[in-house]
Amino acid sequence: MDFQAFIFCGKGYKLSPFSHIREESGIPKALLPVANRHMIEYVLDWCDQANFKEINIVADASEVDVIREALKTYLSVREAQFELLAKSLPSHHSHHTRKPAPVNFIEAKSEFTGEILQKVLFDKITGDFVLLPCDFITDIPPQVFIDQYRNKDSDNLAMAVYYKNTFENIDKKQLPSFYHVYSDNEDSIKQPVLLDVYSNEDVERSKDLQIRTQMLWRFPNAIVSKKLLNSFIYFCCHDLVELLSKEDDSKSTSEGDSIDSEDENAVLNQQMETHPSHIRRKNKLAKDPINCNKSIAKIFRDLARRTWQHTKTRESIGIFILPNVGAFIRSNNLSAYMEANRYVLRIKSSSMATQTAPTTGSAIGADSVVGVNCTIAEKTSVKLSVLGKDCKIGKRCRIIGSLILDGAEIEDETTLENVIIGNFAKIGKRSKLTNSYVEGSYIVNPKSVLKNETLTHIYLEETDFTDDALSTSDEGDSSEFTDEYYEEDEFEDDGLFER
Amino acid sequence: MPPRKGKVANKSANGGKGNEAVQDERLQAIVMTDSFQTRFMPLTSVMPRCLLPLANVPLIEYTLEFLAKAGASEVYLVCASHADQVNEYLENSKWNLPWSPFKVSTIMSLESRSVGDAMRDIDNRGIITGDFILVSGDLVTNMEFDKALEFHRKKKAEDKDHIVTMCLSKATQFFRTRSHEPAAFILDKSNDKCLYYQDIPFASSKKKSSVAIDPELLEDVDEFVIRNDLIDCHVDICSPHVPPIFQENFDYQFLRRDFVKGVLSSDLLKKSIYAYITDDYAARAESWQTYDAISQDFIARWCYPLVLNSNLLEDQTYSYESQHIYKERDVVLAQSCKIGKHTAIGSGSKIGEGTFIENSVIGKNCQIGENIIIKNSYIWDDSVILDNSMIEHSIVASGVKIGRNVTLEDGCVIGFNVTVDDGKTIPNGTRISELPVQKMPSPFLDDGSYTDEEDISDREQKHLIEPATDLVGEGGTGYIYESDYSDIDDEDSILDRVTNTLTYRIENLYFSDDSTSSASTKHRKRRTMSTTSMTTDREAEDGLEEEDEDFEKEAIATVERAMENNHDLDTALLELNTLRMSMNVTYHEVRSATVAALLRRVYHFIATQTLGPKDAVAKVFGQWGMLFKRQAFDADEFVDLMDLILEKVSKQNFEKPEFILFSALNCLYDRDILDEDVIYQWWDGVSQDPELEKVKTLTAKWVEWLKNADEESEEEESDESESDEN
Repeated sequence: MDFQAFIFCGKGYKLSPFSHIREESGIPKALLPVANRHMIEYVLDWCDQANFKEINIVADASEVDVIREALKTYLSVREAQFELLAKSLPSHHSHHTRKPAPVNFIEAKSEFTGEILQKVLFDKITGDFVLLPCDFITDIPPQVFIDQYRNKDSDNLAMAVYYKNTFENIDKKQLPSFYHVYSDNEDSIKQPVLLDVYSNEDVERSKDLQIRTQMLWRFPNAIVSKKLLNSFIYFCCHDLVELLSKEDDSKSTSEGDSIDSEDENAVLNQQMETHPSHIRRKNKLAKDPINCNKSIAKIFRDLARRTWQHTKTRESIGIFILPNVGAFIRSNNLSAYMEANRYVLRIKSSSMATQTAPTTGSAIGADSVVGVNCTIAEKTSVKLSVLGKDCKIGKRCRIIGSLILDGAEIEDETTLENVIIGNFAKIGKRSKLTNSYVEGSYIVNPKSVLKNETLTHIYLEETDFTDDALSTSDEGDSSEFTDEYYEEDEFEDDGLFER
Repeated sequence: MPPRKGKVANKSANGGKGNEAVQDERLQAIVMTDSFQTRFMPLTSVMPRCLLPLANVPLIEYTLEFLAKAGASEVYLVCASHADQVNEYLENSKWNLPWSPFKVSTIMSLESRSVGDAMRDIDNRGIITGDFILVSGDLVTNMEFDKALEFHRKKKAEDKDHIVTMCLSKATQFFRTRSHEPAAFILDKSNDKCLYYQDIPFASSKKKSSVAIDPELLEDVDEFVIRNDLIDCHVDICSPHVPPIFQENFDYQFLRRDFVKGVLSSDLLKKSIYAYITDDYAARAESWQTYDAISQDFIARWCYPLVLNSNLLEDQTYSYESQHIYKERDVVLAQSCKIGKHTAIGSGSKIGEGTFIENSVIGKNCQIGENIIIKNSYIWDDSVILDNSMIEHSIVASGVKIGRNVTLEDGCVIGFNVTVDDGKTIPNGTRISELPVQKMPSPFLDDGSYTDEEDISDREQKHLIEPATDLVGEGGTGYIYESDYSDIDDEDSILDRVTNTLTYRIENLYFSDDSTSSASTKHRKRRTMSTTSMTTDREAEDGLEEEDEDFEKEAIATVERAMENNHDLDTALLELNTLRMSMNVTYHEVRSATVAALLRRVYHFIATQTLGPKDAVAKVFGQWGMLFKRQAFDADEFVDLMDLILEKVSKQNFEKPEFILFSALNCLYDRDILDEDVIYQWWDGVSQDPELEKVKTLTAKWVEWLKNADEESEEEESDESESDEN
């Protein structure tokens, strides 16, 4: 069972101002450094453990070239490592080594991940496949996931992987909050299945969490969790392609300008009315129209709802909740990003006892990483922090639990605590920053004292940022590329009930 | 140090004793013998549900057996309809013998029309002393109650607001003994605390419906389960707080739909309910269908150790044979008759030649003729069935005579003492009773949820119903019973009924009952209790004057209750406000009623010599005067309030009215409810009625004094300010 892996490089709406959302200063989310390596490299490493058949990196057209360029070194090193290993092994062991899976880059241009999946990727999919985000770091080996997937029930279309946050330091407010409904299938031999997802905002808007009674009759022991987080890892069966791909005959007309999702909805609805599902059924799969112009997470939610919405049972979506013994973190918001850095640092510090300090008189903790070409002046201490390359740190600075990206300059006697400093930003003398974010190339005046703030440039076209230094970071952007469920009022008339 | 050691030992011993004392607390049990439903009609028009035999044992015995095993020490049976029969039965039963494991007594609550009414009645009687078990009289279970009680006590120690533990039994969503009113329990996954309760439509219901949960209820909960696979057989362990809650919420009728839901979604109450989930057998015989299912389960020994051959009744002599056949002594079986599996036959019964019986229960002293087929049926005591008849999946009550060559098709219910003539065929799902059972006349139906087991024979004359001679034949007696809801049944409930039974057993198709949730949830006007009730619409029409009077009565009662039970002010205010709005009266009436109630209380204290006049006024007005703060809002209204006090004081026949008035006003003044300006304003415009002169004497002095003091203090103040300036 060889999987094709697709790594979706999101835009990182919640990692603003460091992600590519800020076009002038940001870098693509996949390339944001975690302990001085690109975020996506951790994912690639994980994939290599899994022996996937091929690895595809799916990114927006504006980013794909940058990512390809940036990963060149990594890929060549990977290649070289393999060669070295292959050479050093005795020839009769050579069958143990596998050539690293080819890495392809796929350019996609669409608003919704679901649309990308349907339009761009389905042609390339030949068997079972895995969808991955570009931002996770875990110590759970892929084999665990694969085994779980292989144990699935025969009527399972896909397995969605969920995790619970085990890191205390992540700001809970920044974590997306959803009501995930799933069933353990405690009393049957079946594996747990995902049933439904509601976003907190939806629930608050409608004042109630509405659980359909139809679902309760089919799954009488449903569990609702507010703590589950979507890992955006989906192990999918090839059948899914068949189910979700468009039927050429009926829809080729609307295919042309399919960006217009409303149009398509109308077509779909019309189709619903005219043909009841039992006519439309092809092969063994009941083909229910599922609108793919939304995020993948929502497509899977719709697939999950499909398991109980119909009189006849449909294929289910499995759910795999990662055990708490393993660490799993996704850098999909600033707080988690910072924590991911620290997580890697902690692993490093426990594996490496000592580290040499570049300059005398300053103290750099073993739990820190310093990039090449950094200058650190005397009497500066760095703890549990990451310094990118070409950073300049002045005298008597204290840097604790912070993340300083490439080329930043920190002047003398500055204290940084729990801060992310963007590329080439400059912090003036004797500043004191706590729990703040400074965008790339931003210059902080000397003697500034800042707490809980995000410093960004003002661009003329961005009217939201009227105040030059003050814009709160914790208001979550609801339209994140990879894993947001777009708010919707589909519940009232989703039209999928046939009884 | 020996003494210390001794102390410690002593202490621990004491502690142990203390614990034991708590553990040994008397366990009371309340049994609702009336179901307040009409599901077992027409049989329940003659006999209460709890005395109907299930596998030849009256239903109540199962419940009492369960309570005996649970260790209850006092059992109260709440009887509404046919109370005399229940009473009589109990008096002659083994539970009334000196060695009975508990003391059993009946509570005549003839007025009750719902569980809520019965609970209020219990509260009024004040018999509850501690935690108690609340069960219905139709429960069949082998549940290990100790564990449930342990769970209850544990949760109670953890959560002081814990008031009810519901014992629920695990099944699947379509289990056949599941309640006719399916419901979803929303439980906290970590501790089984019930967060919400919602009754839901049947699986077959066409309606799109959903369980709507207020996110506020879920705020502190990480994970919760929504369970639709539990059998709710209404076994609750309640704390003594429960009956007063029914009292306070006089509109609560149903235990689950009103009470549990109400408690859980109340912001004020802040009480919690837990669910104990057991794997043991538990079910309620609450409809023909569950009756059938439970009988089968019971015969098939699912409820072990509660089985038929444990001979629950004194005079029973059942013995058990393989294939689940039970026979009592003195059963006469003809040589060629065949007794199939899952069958019980009571003593004194005679089975004729060539008769075949399977999956059935035959009562005592039945005469079953020759070549009869009885399948899946329940024949109660003293019935006679003549040759060549066929009975399938039906119930034949006691004293029935069925002629030759009679066929009872699937799902018939033959009532007590009915006679069916030879050669008749009774079609599917027919119910026949000996006497015509009158449906409630509709105004009655509108008036409240009523009991099934209502004796209505006196209305017989009004609506004569033709005997069903077509069915029972010339020589037979019997009347057809039409279900109450036949005319108001909407399409949905019929569908519910049919498909619902279908899901359990195909042969149950017509063996259903009218009680579907949709029918019983119809909003009927609710009957209300005398002390707590609001007037109904009818009364409201009778004119304003009466309404006012009624309001006054109700409001006074409300305030008095608040004082007696020491409610907090907010609750009392809330109740008053509800009352005010529902009757559409002004604050003037509210004040008037409150003043009257407070003064009555004062009078009561003085009259019973509990407190002296001064203390009485101080106590009552000190504590409850604050009510006025939310009943009067501007100067004029306060003046009105004082007028009211004056008027009511003079009317209340106090010994020293002038003193009472003065103390009351002074008390309110001290608590900043009245301020000087208002008092002066009132005094200037006070009524000059000569009758009131005497009452006002002390107050006049008081106002004088106030004025002086005011001036003085003003002077002082101005002095001070002057000195400050200097």
